[in-house]
Amino acid sequence: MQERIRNFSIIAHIDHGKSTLADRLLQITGALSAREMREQFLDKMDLEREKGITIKLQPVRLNYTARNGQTYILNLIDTPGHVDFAYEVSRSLAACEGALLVVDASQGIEAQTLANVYMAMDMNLEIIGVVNKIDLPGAEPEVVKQEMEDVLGLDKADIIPISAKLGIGIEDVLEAIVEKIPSPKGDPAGELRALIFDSYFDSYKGAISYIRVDAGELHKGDMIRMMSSGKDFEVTEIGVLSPFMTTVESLKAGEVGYLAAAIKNVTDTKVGDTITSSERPARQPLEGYQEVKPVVFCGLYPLENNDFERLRDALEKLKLNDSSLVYEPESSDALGLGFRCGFLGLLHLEIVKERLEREYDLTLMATAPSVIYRLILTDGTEISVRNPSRWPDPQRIDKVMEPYAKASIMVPNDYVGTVMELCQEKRGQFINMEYLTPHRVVISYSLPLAEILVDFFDGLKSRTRGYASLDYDIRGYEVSDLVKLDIMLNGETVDALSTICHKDKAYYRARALVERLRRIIPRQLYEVVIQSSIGNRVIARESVKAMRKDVLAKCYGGDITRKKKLLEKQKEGKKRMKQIGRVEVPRDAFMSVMEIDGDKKS
Amino acid sequence: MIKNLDSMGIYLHIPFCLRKCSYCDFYSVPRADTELLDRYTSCLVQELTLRAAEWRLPVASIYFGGGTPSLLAPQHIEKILAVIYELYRPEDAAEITVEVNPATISRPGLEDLRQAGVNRLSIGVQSFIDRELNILGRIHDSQQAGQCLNWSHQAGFANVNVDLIYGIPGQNWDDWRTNLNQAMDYAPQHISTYLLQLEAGVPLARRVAAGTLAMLTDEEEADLYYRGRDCLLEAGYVHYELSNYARKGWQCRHNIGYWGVGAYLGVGVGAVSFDGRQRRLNSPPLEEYLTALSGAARPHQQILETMGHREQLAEAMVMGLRQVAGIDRSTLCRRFGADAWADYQTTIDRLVSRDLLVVNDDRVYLSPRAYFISNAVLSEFLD
Repeated sequence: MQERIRNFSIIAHIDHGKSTLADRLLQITGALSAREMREQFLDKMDLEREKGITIKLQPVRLNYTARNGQTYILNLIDTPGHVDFAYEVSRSLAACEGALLVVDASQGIEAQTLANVYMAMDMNLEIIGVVNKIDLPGAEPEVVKQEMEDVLGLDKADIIPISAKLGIGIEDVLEAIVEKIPSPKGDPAGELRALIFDSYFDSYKGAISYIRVDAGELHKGDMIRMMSSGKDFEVTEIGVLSPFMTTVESLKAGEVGYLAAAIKNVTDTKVGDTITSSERPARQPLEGYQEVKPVVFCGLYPLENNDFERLRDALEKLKLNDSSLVYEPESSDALGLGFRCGFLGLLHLEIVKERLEREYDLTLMATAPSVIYRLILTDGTEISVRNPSRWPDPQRIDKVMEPYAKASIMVPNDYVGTVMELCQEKRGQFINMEYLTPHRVVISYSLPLAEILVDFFDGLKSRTRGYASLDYDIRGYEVSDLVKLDIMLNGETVDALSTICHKDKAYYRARALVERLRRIIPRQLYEVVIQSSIGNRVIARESVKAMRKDVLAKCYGGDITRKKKLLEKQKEGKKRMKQIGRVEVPRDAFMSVMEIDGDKKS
Repeated sequence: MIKNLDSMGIYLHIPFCLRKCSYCDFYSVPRADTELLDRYTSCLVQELTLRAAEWRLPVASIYFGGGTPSLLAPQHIEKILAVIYELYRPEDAAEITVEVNPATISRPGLEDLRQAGVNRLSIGVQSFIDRELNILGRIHDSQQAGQCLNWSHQAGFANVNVDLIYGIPGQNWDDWRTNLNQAMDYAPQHISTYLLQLEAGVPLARRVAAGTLAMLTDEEEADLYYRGRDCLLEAGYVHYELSNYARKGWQCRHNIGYWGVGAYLGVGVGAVSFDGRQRRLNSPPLEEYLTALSGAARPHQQILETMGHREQLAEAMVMGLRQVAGIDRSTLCRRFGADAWADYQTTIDRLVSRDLLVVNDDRVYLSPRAYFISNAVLSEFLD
């Protein structure tokens, strides 16, 4: 049985055609009829389709009859390509024996791809190289193949040229999966061990876990045990995704599927946990994943204060589906009760916020993202600060340390100077530079993580016309000269608008901040004075003049309906404002304080 | 017909203009040939005939608006009024207004209108400064405007309104004061002052967008509004609605009907009717209207909104507060029930604390500082 199973994932950079290739595989293996087919099929979320990216992996089972006449079960586990979601990639990889590495024939290898391939190699996965988009005018498949050989050590003769869009070379890919990727080798008669590699909450069935059975066999009705907690559950449903949920009687060693066990408490199915049998438990769990640690924090607050409990509930459910999300309650004088949430990056933050709003019908405000600072106080104690409003009085601070990351930027050699200039502006320290090929360079810098978070990537892309790609990992903390910038509206400090920045940039940032707030805070009945200060010292000031005109000149018979609609719209707009003292602040103001820096001058 | 209403107005829409003004986005057709006007008049008569059975309230006011109603010949007006007097229940002292464009009227024409029973003129002067008239794309000049006002007096009209526009690009207080004073020289009973507000797409808005003309700043406009108001108050006019002034006792009954959320029958293409609950528009285009009515069919109507009790009450607040005297508690409760006022008590209290509303002797009204930012207040009463 197991020798006819292949478990694989796809590694690719954003836009290199991973989802299109997945669509083709579904089509060719007949998993979907023409009627069921639609683009980016495995990207379940609307958000993914809108942004054209993959956020969540969605496993799928394909039946493929190979040229040797045998029929194989191929379990495809799609993976995300963005740096924020590297952990999802590692989870997918742990459930596989092989991976397709898809590289765009006109773009070549990107920094992120490289990081993921190394991860797969570390996990001893068989790598199958694929060059996609060979149909495009700018395609240089031979150059890219050579690059893959030089950089990754793949044999270029084995790399498969394809066009997922036109359906060229897809069968070759399927054959390579069958021939090269090893079948799973777990003991079918052994004690049950199954890895939970993802889960989500279904309001009818409870928590649904995506699992890969490593050894043993799992049946409907079995009593199972979560090895991390020791809690037991009865399996109410198991099945495979082909790609729609199809129930089966059992899942055997090597198979991939889903499991429901009437688990009501979302914290009881932990991604990375091992499921075993209650009656005949395994002694050792499978190697789980490295716990991913969030690096970016921001406050999420419901616009309506009484939505706090709904937000808590939504976060709890979302966490089941997104184990990297962390949160704890906090309160803000300006925004009320909310949660300080930790994310893997800004895209992750944005996606979580949007999912909470869409899937749980919440209206949220996000404060400016912050990294975790470490402070040594004058009394010798060390504290962590992840919320700028909790920054202690400067008198009490002895030393401030901030996280630094090693950033690897892959770029054509024409842009080396440009990239170095940007890194210098962002307080970077040069580490080294390496030529992958005569034209492709990897530049490494040590950069404050906070600088990477504030539109570094946008700056990088615009200055290199999109040619640069970025990967980074956090290395540790370094001492830094940082200060807290406060914002006051009509003399009152708004805690949710505080940010931390480097002392040398404080004036520039303070000016940019008050200027930006002046533009986004609408005129109100009274003048609004916006000030930015360090401690008690005001370093920038702007004001929004009192509203002088807001009137409808005429309102007569034929026009009353339309005029009322205008007023209703105005009232709607007001509902999207947060009242702070007597000032109405647009709810996106809090987030926008970070969208300030060099490249976005306005 | 809704209960608690004791009278109604009739509005007749005359959708013809010799040329569209540069700031106007109302429905109108650039034609005025006699044959078309004859045919349109017959259609109005037909519509009035077809709808008379449902509109049985006493008629307090009749208003010919446009477009340019003064393009109709006095005989047209006479014919229409005759049908109204025959099939409806006009009050003895019903107010009968015709909007007049100074370029489209003669002295005998005005006398004929008077003869036909029209007792109020609303003259679209807009400005006494030719440069401003030019920007507005008006088809008359200041001299014609003055002449029209003189003729109105000579024709015996004792109730005349002058429409003026302020906030015209380039206008300063001296210009606006000049306009107000010139208007008052003719001693009109009523003066309407309208802030120039441009809907997207009108020719003037395009010139502003292109940068060839600049609108005034909010501060400048507010300044003209309040200084203009002082000037009119000083001359003895009563400020009775955000944009309207009148000699005591000469307020426009027809428009007070709108602000009091009264019923009105709208006749003609582009006209809107309101029965206290529902607003319906006689849908354009003109050709379809003419075809329907010529065949003795009712005009095609589009329902703009249907209001429940709550919406009616909200509208009564919004429209009522546009009037300087505001809303009288007992009147409101008589129409909308004893709880009507209490529903808004917290909103009213909040706005009073911000010095935007005043409550006095069972009336609530806007504080003068709120006049020019009244949307911020009125929108609070909508759900």
